[in-house]
Amino acid sequence: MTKNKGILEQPFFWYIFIALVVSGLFFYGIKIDEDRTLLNALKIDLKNSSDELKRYKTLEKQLNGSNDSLELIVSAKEENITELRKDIKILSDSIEYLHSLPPKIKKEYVDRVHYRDNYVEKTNIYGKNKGKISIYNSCSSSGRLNVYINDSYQGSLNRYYPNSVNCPTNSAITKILPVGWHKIYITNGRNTSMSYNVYINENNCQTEKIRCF
Amino acid sequence: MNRSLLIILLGVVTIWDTVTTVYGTYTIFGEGTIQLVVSIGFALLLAGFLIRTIPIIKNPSEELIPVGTKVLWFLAILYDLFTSFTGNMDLILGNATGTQKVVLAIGLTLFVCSAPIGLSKLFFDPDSE
Repeated sequence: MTKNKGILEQPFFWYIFIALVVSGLFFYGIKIDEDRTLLNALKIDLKNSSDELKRYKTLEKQLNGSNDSLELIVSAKEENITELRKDIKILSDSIEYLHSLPPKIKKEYVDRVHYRDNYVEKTNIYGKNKGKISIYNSCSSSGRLNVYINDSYQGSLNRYYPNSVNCPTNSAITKILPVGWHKIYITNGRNTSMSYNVYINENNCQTEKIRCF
Repeated sequence: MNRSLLIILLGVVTIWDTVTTVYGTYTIFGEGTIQLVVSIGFALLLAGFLIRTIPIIKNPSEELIPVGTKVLWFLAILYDLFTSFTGNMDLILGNATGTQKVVLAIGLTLFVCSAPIGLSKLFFDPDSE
């Protein structure tokens, strides 16, 4: 006796079922794969946008930092201007005070300032209370000379100049010194030496000729 | 092949099938503890239905409950195919793209979904020896 089988036990049902399932999954898979590819592309775009946004934010921070720096500079300048205004006020007060002085004192003051500005500081190219000295060798047989000023080695003279030289000159040891007496000490290759003092005058360049010794 | 070895192999694949069902259901339900618990429960229910494939299909009764069970089994296998397909696409073939990926996913899905049915055959069909 043949047993009556249900539809789920019929082979043709399963062939059709599998075919439908495979086709359905194929089209569904293609669709979700496309969607995910698109999604990945969007994710990359989103990441790029995020990176760009981060870059802009960093730039914004830097700009804000620059603004802060500018504010600091402006603030410092304003402080300087305030200080300058204070100085101007002090100067104005001083000028006012000077104008209030008796004419004799005022003239003395003006003369003193005029002298200082025109004859001391302005014309002294070596600096206030300073002069210059150029030491050169005039002896042909002395050989190399070592020069010391105030016991401090200044250099050596290898060449000699029988005639006088201009002051200052490149052929000599030249030094700016304070006004007053200074000790010059010379030695040669034969272990002989000489020592003497020179006076430096303000705003004056003087030559010092070394003879044979 | 040794029957026990075959049962172990089909059992492992059935577990993977259940995992993909949990994954697919959880993806649809959304994140959350309740959703996860329901997904696991639902997946186990489906796995139960599929492991009992042979008794369900071969039940000759035309009463409501056996016929309704057949309908539910059919829905269960459809849902299992769907979740297994999406699970394999995401969890195994995540980095691949294109038609090859889809074809591979279909192949994997058919094999994975047939595992509980094969297990059912081994357990409940006396002719399977």
